[in-house]
Amino acid sequence: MEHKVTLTIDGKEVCVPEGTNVLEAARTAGIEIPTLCYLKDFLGFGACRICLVEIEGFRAPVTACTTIAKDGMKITTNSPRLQQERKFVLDLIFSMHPPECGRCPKLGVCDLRKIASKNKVAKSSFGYTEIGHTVDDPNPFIYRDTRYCILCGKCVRICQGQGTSVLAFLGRGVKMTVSTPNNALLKDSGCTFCGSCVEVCPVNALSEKPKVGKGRESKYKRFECVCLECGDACDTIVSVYQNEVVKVNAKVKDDVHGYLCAVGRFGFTLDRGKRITAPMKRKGLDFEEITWDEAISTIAERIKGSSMLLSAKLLNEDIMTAKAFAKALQLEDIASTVELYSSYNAMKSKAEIDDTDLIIVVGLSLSQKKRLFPALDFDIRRKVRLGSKLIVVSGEDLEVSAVAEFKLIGDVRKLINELLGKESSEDNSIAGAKKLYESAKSPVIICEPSYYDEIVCAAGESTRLVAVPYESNAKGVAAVMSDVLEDGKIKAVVESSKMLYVVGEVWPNIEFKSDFIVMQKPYLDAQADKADLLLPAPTSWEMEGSIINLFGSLTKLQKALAMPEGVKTYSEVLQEIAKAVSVDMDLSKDIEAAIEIKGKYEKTDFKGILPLSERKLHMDALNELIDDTVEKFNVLETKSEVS
Amino acid sequence: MDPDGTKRQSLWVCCGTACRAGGSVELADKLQEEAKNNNIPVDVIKTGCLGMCQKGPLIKTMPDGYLYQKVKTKHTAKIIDYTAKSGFAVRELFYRIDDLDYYYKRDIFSGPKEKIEDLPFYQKQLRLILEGNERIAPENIHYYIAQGGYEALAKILSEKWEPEKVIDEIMKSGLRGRGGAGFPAGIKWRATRQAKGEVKVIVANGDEGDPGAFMDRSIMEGNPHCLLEGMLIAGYAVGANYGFIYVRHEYPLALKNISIAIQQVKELGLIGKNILGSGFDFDISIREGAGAFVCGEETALLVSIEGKRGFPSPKPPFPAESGVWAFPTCINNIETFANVPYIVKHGAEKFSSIGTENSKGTKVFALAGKIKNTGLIEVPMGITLREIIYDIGGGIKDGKRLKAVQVGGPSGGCIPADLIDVEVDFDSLSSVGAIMGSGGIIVLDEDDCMVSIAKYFLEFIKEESCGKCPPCRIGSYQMLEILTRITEGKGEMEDIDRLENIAKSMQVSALCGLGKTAPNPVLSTMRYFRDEYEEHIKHKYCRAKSCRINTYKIDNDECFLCGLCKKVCPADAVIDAGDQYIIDQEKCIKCKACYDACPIDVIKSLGSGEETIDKSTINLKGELRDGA
Repeated sequence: MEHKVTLTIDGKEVCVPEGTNVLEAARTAGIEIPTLCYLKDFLGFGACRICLVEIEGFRAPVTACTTIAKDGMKITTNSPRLQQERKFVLDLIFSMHPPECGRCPKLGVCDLRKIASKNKVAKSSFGYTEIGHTVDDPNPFIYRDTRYCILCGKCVRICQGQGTSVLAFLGRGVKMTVSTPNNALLKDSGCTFCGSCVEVCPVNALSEKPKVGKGRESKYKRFECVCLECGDACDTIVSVYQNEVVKVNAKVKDDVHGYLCAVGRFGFTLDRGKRITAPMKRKGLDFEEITWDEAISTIAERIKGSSMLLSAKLLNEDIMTAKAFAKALQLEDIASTVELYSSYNAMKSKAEIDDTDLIIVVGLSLSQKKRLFPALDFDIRRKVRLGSKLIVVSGEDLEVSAVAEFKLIGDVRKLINELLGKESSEDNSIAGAKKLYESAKSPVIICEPSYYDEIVCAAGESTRLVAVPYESNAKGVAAVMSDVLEDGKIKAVVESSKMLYVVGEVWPNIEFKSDFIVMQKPYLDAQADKADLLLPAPTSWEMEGSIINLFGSLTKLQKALAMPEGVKTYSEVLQEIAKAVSVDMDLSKDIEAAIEIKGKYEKTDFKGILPLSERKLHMDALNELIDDTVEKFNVLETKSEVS
Repeated sequence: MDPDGTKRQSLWVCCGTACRAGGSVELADKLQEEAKNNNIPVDVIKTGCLGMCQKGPLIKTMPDGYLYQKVKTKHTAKIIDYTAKSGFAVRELFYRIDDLDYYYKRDIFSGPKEKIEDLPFYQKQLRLILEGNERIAPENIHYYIAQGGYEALAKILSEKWEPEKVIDEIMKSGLRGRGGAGFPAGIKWRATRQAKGEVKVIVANGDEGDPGAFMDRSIMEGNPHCLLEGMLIAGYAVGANYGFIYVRHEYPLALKNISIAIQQVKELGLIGKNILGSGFDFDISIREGAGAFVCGEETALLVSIEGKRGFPSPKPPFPAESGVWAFPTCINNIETFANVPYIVKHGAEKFSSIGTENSKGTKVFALAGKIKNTGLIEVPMGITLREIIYDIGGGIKDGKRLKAVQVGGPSGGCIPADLIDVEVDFDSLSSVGAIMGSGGIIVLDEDDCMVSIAKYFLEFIKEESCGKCPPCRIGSYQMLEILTRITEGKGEMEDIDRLENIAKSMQVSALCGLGKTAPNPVLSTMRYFRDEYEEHIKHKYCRAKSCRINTYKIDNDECFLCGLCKKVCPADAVIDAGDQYIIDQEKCIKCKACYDACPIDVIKSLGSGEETIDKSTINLKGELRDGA
């Protein structure tokens, strides 16, 4: 049972768990104490001096973010004296912050301006001294301008907290800046361009380069979407300005910013090939555009007895249509890319890590630097920072083991049995880890899908266990159509000689052996070259629907952009084909019912087609694209001011 | 005594940093070599700082106790010949009162001072901690042990004192932290002892950063074992097993001597496991700081030990609850620890009999500025500033008049000359707007402009501000801008209020002690020398003539046309008008060269504007004692 403390803030009585700081305590009472440097989930920093409060019995005002609430405290948050001090601090900050807010792209979303307006500070009584400069950092993603920096240290703390530790304070006094070690360029300093620093920056010191020159942030339309690029399936906010995606950032849950890697945050700027806007038919080495009617009838001719490959990046709604389609047409050879790396059984696992006190990572390659499940890496580190313990079981040394209580490196299957099963081990660290596991209240195991069966056998079926897929909606595929799909069938499907209909983006290096390949995908990339018929498809922010994320929970996507003319959704195309061959589809709209995971655990022994080392291939493709973009970028001049 | 009945002589050569700079190490080596060449039995011992740095290099001889000052290598032969061989003194090296100051008039016939105790510099001092510097060689633990070193530790361990008893003793002694704020050491120790946690840590703060302060350095260099013993006792009392000594990188000798000391103590088993068979374990390690002033602030120092950037953090939590790596930590100044062995050895009563009601014991000060005898002194609490300046320090240099005394470094304040009868203790000093600080005393005379002094300290703060919080980072910058404006003659009267407002807000809103006390030099000079600020602004006049805003005019009635002013003027502003010289105010760059060159002082330094200031009307604070 958690201890609670009761205190009075501005006359309101507040009851909060022990250990809560005064700032949080006030928030629960609906009192917003202004602050510029407070970062939830981190220790109070106490640098900005804006959140000063008076506590009865204390000689001087103290910062609310660093003061732990104690029973019986009487706190005043807005006395004339505090207002005066706040004004003084703002006055000082503004004396070294560019005064023309009207030209700042962050106007409207700037924390400093908001607090200043509330405290009626328009500009500094000291005038403006320009300290700092626009940083010449040739990279395509992050724009730095230290003139705006108020040295709140949020970026530094988030960068260190998530384990990348690229940003640090440099210098002293007014010459202090936030920079990289030895003032190296971001790309030379180990920066992964995740943009967490940009996310937390309260002013215009750090911003996304792609949105530079694209209006003021407060004018953007924001949509809740999900990044579909990897198994992490991060929740995103997509900002649209003049029918164009200009910014993607992480969703904020309970005042805490989530994580997005460079692919998720800046992926929309990448050059992934030409957008396909009309059906295209192979003509020699090239493609020629044809009409939808032609395309549909071409497919309809060959659809009977053909095979179908579904991408696990499709939304639940499209998968349901595909299932109905397959049933209606009695397609036998149907598979999904999930089979490349997992059994459908493993993909039915679900668990949340929110309330866990011990996380065990088994066999999964996590890395922020290589962008392999970077958000999972971030989430685990965050849980560890908040007090959970971590055990890493792996064949290689992972970055995240820096915060682990125990790291067990070796033969993963053997270690699973020793740690979770009944086998005993002489090794001290295994024994220690086992003790920790046995004493944990609610441990959660996060594993590579291949180890799913071993872990269930060793630890029992009641264990909270999550197998992490390599594609964003693998769990949705498993939930919706595991009764249609069969483990390992993909091999037969891609090797069948009849027509193959590939729905959505799939693994880049699958060898297709079919005579006639139809692909529906948004971009004309290297893989599209293998197709005989190409159909246009929406990108992830042109779709509306839902997915099931790696923890097994349903997440909705909003449609941020309209599809370009000529593009049809996956479902629309399937329906049209069905219509062309005059087959009725049994379409159900009830997603919730469809995805209900039924049945109990059955041992399958299927561990996926691709060897472990090749599973991260499609992530690698995007990562290379990001790295290439960074490498080739050498435009120095970009102005961040609205012109 | 040697077998033949003559006394074996020993020469104690001061090898503190100041004397080292004067060549004392070479001197000691040469003495040794000379003695060896002449086959004369003599011990040449390199000691820590003897205190009177102004007259270094110093040599003390034993057993006669002569004190030689300003010894050069040319004197070595004589010292070996006279003193080492025959026990005679080299009289030309004795300390003499070198100018006939009014204050020493009565001593005019007294001749040279032969021994340490004859010197006025030492007479009013009470050297409990620094005494060790004279008697031991810091690089050899046996000297320290021979002087009763580690007896206090042995006493506690052999008599099986309860840790609480040690803390009680410290409480009873009334020892207050010597780092500046004067927090009672006993309370801190008790808080650390009572804090929850299996691992506890002792930290000695040797990050001495105030300009002109070198008290801790001298203790670490000259008497490192005293510090180690104090830390061991503290460790025993609070239940800690680990100790860190945080020394700035700029103190290479202190680092070296402490490392040697730790090595030797380890060899003797006085630190390590099961010390003296008592079951008490304690280990000490050195942490080198990179020399940031802010790392002297305890919370910043603690994170610096962890290897992070030296940022202060708000208190609470206090280090006693959560310090290095969140372990309960007892952090004290070097000098505080150095006092501990004395208290344990001689008892709390003896220690508390020294000093005033609320400030017990002695305090080491670094005496600097416009004073005859600069150096390191240790005085009992309650001595007046006047005694320190005139008796120990020997008065103001070059017969100038005392204007103010800056006590406590950048966080301290200026005490005007008419308040120098204030007793030196924690409370009296803060009542006049200064603080004890870590113990720097800078004496200012009539040539020091108080606005410039405030500016100097603020410049230091501005450079050393860690930059974490805006009040200190930007506040000190803006205050400095205003002060610079004033000293350049561009100030406005509102600037004084503006300064006061910034200062008062900084005291409330800054994060750490450094920022909260940063405005003190400005506030205290404004409190006592407000008229100087106003003169700078209103009349463009600096009475100390150090700011280049004064107007220079030649009094043609008295001028005897020597032409020196014209000769020295770098701006060609002095016009030879045949029967008189005139300063062209438009060309004049106010460099003061003509004023300094004039042999009969007929060039007047004046304020500008309609009212010209008559020099005689200026009330210069701090008149000297008549006939004292």
